[in-house]
Amino acid sequence: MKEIILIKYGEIILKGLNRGRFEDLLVRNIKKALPKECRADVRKSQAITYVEPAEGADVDEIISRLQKVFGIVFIARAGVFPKDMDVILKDGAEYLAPYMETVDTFKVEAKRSDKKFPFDSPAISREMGAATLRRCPHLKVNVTEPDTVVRVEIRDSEAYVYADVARVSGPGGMPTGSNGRATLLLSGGIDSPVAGYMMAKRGVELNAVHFFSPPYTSDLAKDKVIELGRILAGYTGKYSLYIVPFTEQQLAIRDNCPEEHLTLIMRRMMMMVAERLAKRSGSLALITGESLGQVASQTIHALGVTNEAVKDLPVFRPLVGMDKDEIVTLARKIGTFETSILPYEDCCTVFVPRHPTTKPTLDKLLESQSKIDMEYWVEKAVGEAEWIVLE
Amino acid sequence: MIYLDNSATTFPAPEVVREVAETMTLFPGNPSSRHRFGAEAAKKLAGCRERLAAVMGVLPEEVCFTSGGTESDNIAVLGGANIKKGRRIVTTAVEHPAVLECMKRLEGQGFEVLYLAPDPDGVVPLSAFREAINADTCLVSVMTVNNETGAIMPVDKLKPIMAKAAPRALLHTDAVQAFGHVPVHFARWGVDMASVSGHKLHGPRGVGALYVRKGTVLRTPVLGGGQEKGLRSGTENLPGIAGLALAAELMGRGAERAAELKARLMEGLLSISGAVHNGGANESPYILNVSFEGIRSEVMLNALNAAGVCVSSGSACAGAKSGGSHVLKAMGAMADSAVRFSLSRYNTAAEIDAAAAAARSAAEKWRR
Repeated sequence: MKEIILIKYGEIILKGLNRGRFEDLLVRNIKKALPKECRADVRKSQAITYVEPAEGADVDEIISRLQKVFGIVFIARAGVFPKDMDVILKDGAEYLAPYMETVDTFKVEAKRSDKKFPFDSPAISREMGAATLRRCPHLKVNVTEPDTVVRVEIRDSEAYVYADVARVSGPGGMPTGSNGRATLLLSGGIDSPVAGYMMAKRGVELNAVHFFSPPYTSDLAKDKVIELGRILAGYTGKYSLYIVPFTEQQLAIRDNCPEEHLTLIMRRMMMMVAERLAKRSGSLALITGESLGQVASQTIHALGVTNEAVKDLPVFRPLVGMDKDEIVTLARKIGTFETSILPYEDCCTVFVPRHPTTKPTLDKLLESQSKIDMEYWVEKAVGEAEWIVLE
Repeated sequence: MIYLDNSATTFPAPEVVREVAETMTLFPGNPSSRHRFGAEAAKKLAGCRERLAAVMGVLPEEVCFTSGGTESDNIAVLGGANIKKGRRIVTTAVEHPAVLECMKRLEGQGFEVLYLAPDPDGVVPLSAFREAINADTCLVSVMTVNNETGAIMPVDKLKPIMAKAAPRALLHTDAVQAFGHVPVHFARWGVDMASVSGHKLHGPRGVGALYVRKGTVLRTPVLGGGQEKGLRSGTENLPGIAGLALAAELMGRGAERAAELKARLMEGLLSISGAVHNGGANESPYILNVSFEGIRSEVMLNALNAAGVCVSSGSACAGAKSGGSHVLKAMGAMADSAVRFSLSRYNTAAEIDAAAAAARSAAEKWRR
């Protein structure tokens, strides 16, 4: 018997005339998520998208990859049957039996897109219900609150049978690329990968910027960031990571600017570098992992002062209203937490003022910043950035 | 790359690599099996035991093969502590975690453990042992050479003190950094147990040995099929054991050359302004620990790594923990700017000079 994987999507069907474009993007992303070695065909027909695993392909692996494709709401394994009512009933009930072992009650919902099929939807539902009861005598029908719904879909060339218990959730959201591109400021910490995930989930294609400060930060710290980027790439497909050497900039700030403003001047400089790299790579926004009040440099005053350094692009801060434990929960869910907590220095913690200001004012900060030639250091950093492709 | 992290691990000698592969191929049987393959493996095992015993200067039946220094330490410390003989255990504050963690467990079981502090040169003075060892002492465990500073402890002078104060107590030494590096005479010193490890001698990882003086009774924590006279159950790692025996033989008289290289390195490093030697005169010729004032250990380590020089801050076994080395803190040294250079017979004078030059330029560039 043949089995396929049905892809169900939510939000994108609301997009009216854009629907076709969103679907095409989703299909493209699914194809990218399932390279040749997965041995699965991705098809779209009659407004339904499905994946057809080759004989002997690893279906569980395929499903776990699909669970990372944004735009998919759920994924269902379904049996494929010829459009012969007797076969559908008998083999369909047989196919369902293992899934039905875990439930007590069910109902059947049938859909018939081929209106020439000799049975109408209520008749199919009735017959399939009876066949299922014959095969699984422990079941009872409950049309108002069933444990699971058995679905029969009669398509142009074949029929699908599956039960809702056999489906798993996708990540939801919108297909990557449906909302343009944005540049993530990726440190080695817990927050920034989560911020990247959240914006990617809304269809944003990512690229990322990482600042590193050898020898104050080690190669291991850089490897850790690359690993975090790779985990994110599992959701977004491949993207570019700019790696910006930042030691001299940090030393210039430390040697010339008032101590209580070190962190904020550094963050402003990072934003300026990121914005220029973003524009160069076609990004339409910046993404940071800032969360209001989490540390001294993320108070409402500090965010305002940092934000002022960005000239044109909007800055997305998807974590701004989240508590640390909510962020940690999400980091665990997307699989970045264990890597994030590896104990390597990151460049933000190399020179930390003993008494950082929590209520900075812009004019004082600009005065502190004027001790160095910001433009020179920003351009130098942009010029020395290297990039690698993550996948 | 210039490899000066030989206290973390040494690179295997090519002869050892061949010996391990050959033993794996030619002696596939289990030494406990009664058939021909088993007998051949048993014979090979016995030969290796004799050879290692000869290098250690002990009897073959006093050599117990283990999975490495940590397991040897565990068997010796957990197996040697005996509350019926006494509640007190005397050790030092600068032991390897393989000993210290065992001590923590024993404290939980009602033992009183005394952690003796070193002098600023890294050596625990004999007077401290005289004060600590009393009639209630059942075990004394002191490393021969400290893994971070190279300090040589007075293990050779402990048994006479114990003979008077605690005649039934056992003496264990973690000789992982000593065996093959500095002269050791376990039998003459009256040591009851001594731990050694293969991969510190250009041998394989995952193999070591515990010297157990004839007549010593241990309550081993490793239970199973009763191999190694019941002290270390588990099918013998014959390829590793063959590698260990050969590696021990090859160590030979490398110490003189190491001493020359160390003197050269010391001269190069200590002429850097702000550099301080963490240690004293009585040290392994293979280890040199230096603090560079104003530069955190990781910064020096990263800068040297970028310049192609591999070193450690403190001990590799504490690599993920922060807060600086327990050893250097106990000595009162600049623990958070300490860097350990550890040598091997494969290092050259040119490498030493290049490493010292790299350290100098890193120190000048990154000092705060």
